[in-house]
Amino acid sequence: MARNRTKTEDDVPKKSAKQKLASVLEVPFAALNDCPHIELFGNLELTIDGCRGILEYEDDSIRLNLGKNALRVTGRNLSLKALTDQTAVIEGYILLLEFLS
Amino acid sequence: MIIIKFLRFFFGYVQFTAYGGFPERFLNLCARNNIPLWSVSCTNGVLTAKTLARRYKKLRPIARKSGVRIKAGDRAGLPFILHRYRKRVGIAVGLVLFASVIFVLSLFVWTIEVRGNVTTETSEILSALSELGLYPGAPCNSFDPEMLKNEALLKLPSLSWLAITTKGSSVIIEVRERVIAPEIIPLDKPCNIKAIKSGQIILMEVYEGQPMVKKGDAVSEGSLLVSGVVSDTQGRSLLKHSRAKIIAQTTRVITVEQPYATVITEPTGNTIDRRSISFFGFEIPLYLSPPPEGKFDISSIEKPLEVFGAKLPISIKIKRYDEMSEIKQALSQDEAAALAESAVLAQEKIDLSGIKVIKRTPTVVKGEKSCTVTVEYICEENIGLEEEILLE
Repeated sequence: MARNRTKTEDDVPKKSAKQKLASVLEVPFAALNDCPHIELFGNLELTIDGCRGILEYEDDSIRLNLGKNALRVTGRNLSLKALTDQTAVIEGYILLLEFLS
Repeated sequence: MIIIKFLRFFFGYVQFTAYGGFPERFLNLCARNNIPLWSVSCTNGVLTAKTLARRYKKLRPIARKSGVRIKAGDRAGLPFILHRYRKRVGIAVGLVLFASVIFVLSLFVWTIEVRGNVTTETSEILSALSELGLYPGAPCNSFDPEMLKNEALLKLPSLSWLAITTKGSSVIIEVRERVIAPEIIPLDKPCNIKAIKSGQIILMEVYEGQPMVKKGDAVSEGSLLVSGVVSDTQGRSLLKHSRAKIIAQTTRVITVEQPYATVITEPTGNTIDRRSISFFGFEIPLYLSPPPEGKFDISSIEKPLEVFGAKLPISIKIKRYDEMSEIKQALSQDEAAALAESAVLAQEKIDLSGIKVIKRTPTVVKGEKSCTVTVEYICEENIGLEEEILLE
């Protein structure tokens, strides 16, 4: 009987130790994890806390480094309203958000 | 947010363009080096952004590292404005002078407003306060509101309460007037009731005391109506506080004499105004000529200057001289009689206020030099007045 099998894209990732601890302690997962925080206001403004830099910057596409993965923002007339070490604010007409591993 | 916009303006900012090289690396290095950027846009490979003026120099090594070439564009903000006018010393001096004048003027009282007075004249209150050291132009720290309040209440017996509130250079005086209680003899003090007017008694209700007259009696002014000395069944004299309602029919007469030849003063229409400026109690006349000679009716108008509803301690005083002329007027008998009648009516309102008039009989006598109108009134009024019995 084959016990080992390769991971496919359909597999649901297992809960990490931090996620399990958060559920036991009944605290929000974000309190124990330092994953990026993304806020979207309609499709006009996007705020990312925990952004580690810009990978690609075009008028219609901006790719941001979020650490473990990347985020591609596609749209029209995209511009960086503000950029600091940890935060980026993108404004414009946002059409698509893609998480890239 | 407006505060962020204000801070950016306050520190000054520069718009720049960056082209060539690796714009993404340039942006990341700026973020890592705490150089804030905003309004970043990239069009056809040309990056346009804004940063604070003092951080612009730090962009050069970053631009070298990332291979971009930067070029400064528009400059905006307070540092650039100040730099543009750095040789205009007058602006700085003017600002300092302005601030100094505002500061110095705020140390004085500009206006005093009185609220809550009805019968007491505002000028009387202001005059009393002025004597105690509170007047337009007085230093704000020259008076103690608590002490001033107590002293002002002693000076103004018609007031029962006074509060002084200082709002910047304005002082607001709030007052409450004293309600003077009528003189009432206490119920434990013995008293008689005497007649204040002569008349015939038509109603007598005695609640306490010994009645000395009865209904229908004619009494003269000052006579005893109810005695406070009462004898009990054992012959002892007791002192009581007499209380009674005594209505009597009285007679009153009002006479007015109006001569036919009168002298009346009328304005001619000529008016002379003399203006002066008043501020902080000082008055500067705006005229050089002396007061006009002749018969004039003098009146004063004060117009304080206002800015957005707030009164300033600067006012324009206008002294108006209305020229008057004396005109000898001869009245006819009927005209004199009419004038005398109107004078009688005016006097009636004062003398007979609160008194019930049963009958009014006017008599007009037209003499050679004057017309006399006499009106006789039959009234019903309370003629009893309490008078304390003084004991040694």
